[in-house]
Amino acid sequence: MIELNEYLDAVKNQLNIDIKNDNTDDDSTNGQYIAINTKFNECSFIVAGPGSGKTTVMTLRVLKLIFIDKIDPKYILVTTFTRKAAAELSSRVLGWGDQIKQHLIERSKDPDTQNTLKSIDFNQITVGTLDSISEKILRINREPGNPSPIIIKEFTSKAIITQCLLKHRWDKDDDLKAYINFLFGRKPDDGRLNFSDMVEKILSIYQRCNNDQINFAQYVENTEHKGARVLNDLLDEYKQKLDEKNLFDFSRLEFGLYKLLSEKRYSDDFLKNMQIVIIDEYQDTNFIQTRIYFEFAKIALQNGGSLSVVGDDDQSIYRFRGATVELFRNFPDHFSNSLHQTPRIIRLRDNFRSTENIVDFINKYVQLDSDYQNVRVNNKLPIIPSRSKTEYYNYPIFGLFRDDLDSLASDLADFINSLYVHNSKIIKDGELEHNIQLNSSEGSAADLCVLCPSAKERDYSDDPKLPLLLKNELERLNPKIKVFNPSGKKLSQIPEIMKLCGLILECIDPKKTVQDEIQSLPHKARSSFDEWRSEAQKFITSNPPALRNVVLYEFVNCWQQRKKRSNKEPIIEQNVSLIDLSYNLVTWIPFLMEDIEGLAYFESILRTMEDNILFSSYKSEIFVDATLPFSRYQKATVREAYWNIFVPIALGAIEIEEDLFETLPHDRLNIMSIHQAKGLEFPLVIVDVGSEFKITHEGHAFKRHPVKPSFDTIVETELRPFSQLENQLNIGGQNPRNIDRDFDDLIRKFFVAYSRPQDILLIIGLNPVRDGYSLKKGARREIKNIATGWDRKGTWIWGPGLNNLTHIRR
Amino acid sequence: MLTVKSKPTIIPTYNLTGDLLSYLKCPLQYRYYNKAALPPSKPVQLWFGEFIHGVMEEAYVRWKEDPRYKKFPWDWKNEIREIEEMINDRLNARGLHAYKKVFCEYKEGFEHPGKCGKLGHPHKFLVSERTDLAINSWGQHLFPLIEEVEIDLKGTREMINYQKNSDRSKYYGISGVADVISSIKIRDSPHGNLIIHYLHENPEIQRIIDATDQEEFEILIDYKGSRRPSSTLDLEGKTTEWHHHEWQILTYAGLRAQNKNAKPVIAGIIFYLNELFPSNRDLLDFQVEVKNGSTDVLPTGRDLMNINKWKHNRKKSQRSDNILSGELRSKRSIRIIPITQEKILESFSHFDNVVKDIEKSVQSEIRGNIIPSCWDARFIEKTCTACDAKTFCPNKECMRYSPQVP
Repeated sequence: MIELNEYLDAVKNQLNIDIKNDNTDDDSTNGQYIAINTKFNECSFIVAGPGSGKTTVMTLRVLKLIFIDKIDPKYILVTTFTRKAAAELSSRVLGWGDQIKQHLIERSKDPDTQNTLKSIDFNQITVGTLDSISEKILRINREPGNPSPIIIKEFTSKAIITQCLLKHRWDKDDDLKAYINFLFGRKPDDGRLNFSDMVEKILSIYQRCNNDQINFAQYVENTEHKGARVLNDLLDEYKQKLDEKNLFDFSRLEFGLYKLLSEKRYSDDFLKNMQIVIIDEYQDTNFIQTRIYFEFAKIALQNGGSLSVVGDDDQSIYRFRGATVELFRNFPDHFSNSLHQTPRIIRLRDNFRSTENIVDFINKYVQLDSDYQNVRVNNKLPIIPSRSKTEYYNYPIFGLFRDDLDSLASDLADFINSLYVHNSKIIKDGELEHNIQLNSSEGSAADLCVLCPSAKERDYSDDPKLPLLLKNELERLNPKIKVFNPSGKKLSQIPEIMKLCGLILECIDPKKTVQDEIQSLPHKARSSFDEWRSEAQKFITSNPPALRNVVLYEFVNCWQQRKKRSNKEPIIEQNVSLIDLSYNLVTWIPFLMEDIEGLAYFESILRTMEDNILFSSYKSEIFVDATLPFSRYQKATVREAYWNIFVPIALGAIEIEEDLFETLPHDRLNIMSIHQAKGLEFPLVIVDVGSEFKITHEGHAFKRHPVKPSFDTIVETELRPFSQLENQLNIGGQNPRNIDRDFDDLIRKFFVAYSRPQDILLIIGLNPVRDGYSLKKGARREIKNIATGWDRKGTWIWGPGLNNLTHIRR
Repeated sequence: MLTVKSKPTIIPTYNLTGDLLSYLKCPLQYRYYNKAALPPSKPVQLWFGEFIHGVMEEAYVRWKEDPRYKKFPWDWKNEIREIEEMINDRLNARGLHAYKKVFCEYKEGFEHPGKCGKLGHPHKFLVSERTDLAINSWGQHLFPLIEEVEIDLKGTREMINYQKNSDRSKYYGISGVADVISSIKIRDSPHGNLIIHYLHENPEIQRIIDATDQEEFEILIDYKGSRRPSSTLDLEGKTTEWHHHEWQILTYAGLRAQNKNAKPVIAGIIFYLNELFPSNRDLLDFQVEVKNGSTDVLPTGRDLMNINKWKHNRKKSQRSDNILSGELRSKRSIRIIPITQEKILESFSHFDNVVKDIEKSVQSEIRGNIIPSCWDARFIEKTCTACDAKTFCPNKECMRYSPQVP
């Protein structure tokens, strides 16, 4: 009915996207056209460089399959890495699909074609993250009488692990501690291992075991580490707790889907008839996910369809979540060995995002380390600058380096302010002058983004880091520039949350009776509780206005006395929901219900309480009885609230979800981690390559030039021989030295950072990172750093002074 | 000059019940509970809604797959209670619990003594009376007609009065889940089926059937864990739940019609399951509606006399099946909505306007206004009393609520 030319004309006419065809069969030059036009039954392996219009290509491929190949939308599956990416892809399919459909209907003279076009329903396509798709498939295909899975988040997993640790006091077990220290590459009795690190790393090992299908019991029999046995017991107990309540964490969910598919226990129409499978961000896939995708592929091939995977090995940055980049690199071989069909290799090399200088810079950067070339996709070619040259001024790559952190934050704020307030910043470059200007009508602080290795505002010892100092500088300006960095701060340090939590503690545990009885409370949590209480007391004594004729002091006092506010009668045998108490208290803290950021923080607290209901004994309720104020039962309910709700908040285990900020004003300066920036682009990107490095210190070597393997690399090396999937997938090709994988990961991380900007890349850090520094005795030292052009062998290819950058000086 | 950061292409998607009906109830409450997903402190209504849906679904599966369940009536203690316990377990695992006065949560080996303090478990409290009647009165007629359960329905609509610079998208997505789709051959339907009987009795549906030569039709069915709402406009002349439920069914029908394999949908049926065994609160509301004439299914004869003289007595409450006849309760529990193309278009247009209003509020937030100033706060006493935002709600009527201990 519709011919390819007609379709591509409609794309050009309606979407203003011109898919050029150079009439060659050369994937490396005609990539976009070939990727869209590959036959519906031909599998493909699409290596998509940064800014190569990957989402556009996937959308147009899906629409081509529907319009030209007449694939029924309800048998198309597309998976992406994040919910945001899924929403964007799905929106494009719906929006663009409708535009093209209307155009084709108008142009067609054949009533049959018109009717067929009218009947297309793009809503039937399944687009989502693998987790959301797993949940849906397991729900639909559950056996009669079996309940739907209840999905838990990472916080709940951590809380259950915390319970197991404390129940058996395994947190004090020297063998377990020694084992985790071993995986950190530390001495057995290294004192740096704290409780929350322990919980986090145990969860990470558990996830690795699931993702890689490790037989941990077999590993335990073959290792000399006694602590591995303790860990095995702990993981068994964790799994048992999930079983008891039919709870599914994400890795269990994926395993459930793999089993369902491999045992062919499905009966729904979608799975049985699935024809097209497209997997985005395949470079961040893990073992179990690969098996799931191959099972999907089997179904699609049986139904005469195909599988396409899309990704870029240079942008694989999720090893800590189990991502195994080798699965991407070796995909063509794995696929043909398993499914006996050779996928077509298509390279998307055109970069439509960045200026020529930026593309040139990232090409050079990624080729700088010779060892790295061995772990890239075979025959990887440089990316090509393809953005229209009339659209941009080809700025050089800028650098801004200062002697200390305060000066760096202050000068960076000045630079941003010049753009924001004066709308212009002139930078001298020898005889040249580069004028940087935000768009005069629509430009805003949102056009800039600061990328840091971590967006946290404070370090482990609570000292301020660049994100905090920069935020303070920007908010001091007049007019102030607002910053958006939700993952920068801990919930426990947000003043309004401190006030709320302090008020709750004052109500449920006046005089700290229960708090003081819990000997094993982590020190950090105890001091947070005291700080919160002190904030709450200050707030009460400041005598905030009575609301609805209720004075805060009176409200808290009634709670402490366990008497009703209405008639002052004692409260007898009542279970009170902490969620209910929180809602009552926020009456006096309007920020938490009126402001978008405030509401997101409040929601995080309430969701912590709600999640606790899933696995706790007292369901986030406090038993209140005035006649027996210190009964064992009352204390038990309060104690559980401390452990399950307030300790995780105090220790920073509760993260604020970015999805909660959908309606945040668009004019804020983004500060984010490089991981968060994946898939995003900004006109001006500032990359922090060394605001923390004043001298060469081994403690931060892992962030710039590793001297020993990381936790994730050691775990991977230690456990993978016990993976049931190792033989099936035959990973191979890994760097022989563990530490090489850490170098590879660092290179990839900064490749992602450097390839985000559209117009300007500004690299920032401290002067010693750029020039080196002198020791007292006069000798010079240089700070090795992958991000500033060192290779792993210790050669500084960019050289002292970083003369490949145009430096912004005072 | 620098490029301007491109905005992501995101088509906002709205769920019919989770978004649109919630918004119509109270926009500000929708902002907190649905858009922000703040958990309610007392999710009892949520429990009942999910419980009754779960019980009906499981009962259907058993009827379909297990020959022992083919015959009606089912015995509550031996056949229905097991389903109740199973569904309640699932909800408990998600942190949802019933009020102890309306459902006996006791189970052998139950770890929370005290939830149901009475002896002689299990008790057939209010909720169990309803499940018994729902299965035994409607299940036997409904189950043989079921074609599919829990059907995902999705569609895309154009945003009305789309403005490129202010609207987020030219389109919006609309989604919903129909509880049941029945397929019927109306001229060759099972004899004695009460549902078919009600459909035939409806003159509008009869007209729709007569106007077509189709043999097979679809009926959309939705269970509601609530009472039959008043069928009039509210005091301010605004539409109420009654109208919104009809829009919901009509929109489901419109979305279903987009499915290639769908047969013509001629009717929607809503089962208001509380009506099978009304609570005291339900009877009070009914009494007022009878006096005002604001409900469409009115009592006559003995039912009218009983409801008029009934007095709510907290200490000695009467069973509602002693006050209202089974026939009246059954009639009030079923609502038939004829489906026509004009009505479908009308309902879509209502929701287009609702989405536009929601998007206006979203835009207002994006411009930096505080949340309560962007969303209207509507006062409906029953909704507000159970709302957690009542102590800081800007609606004047809500000033009556103050923080309580506890």
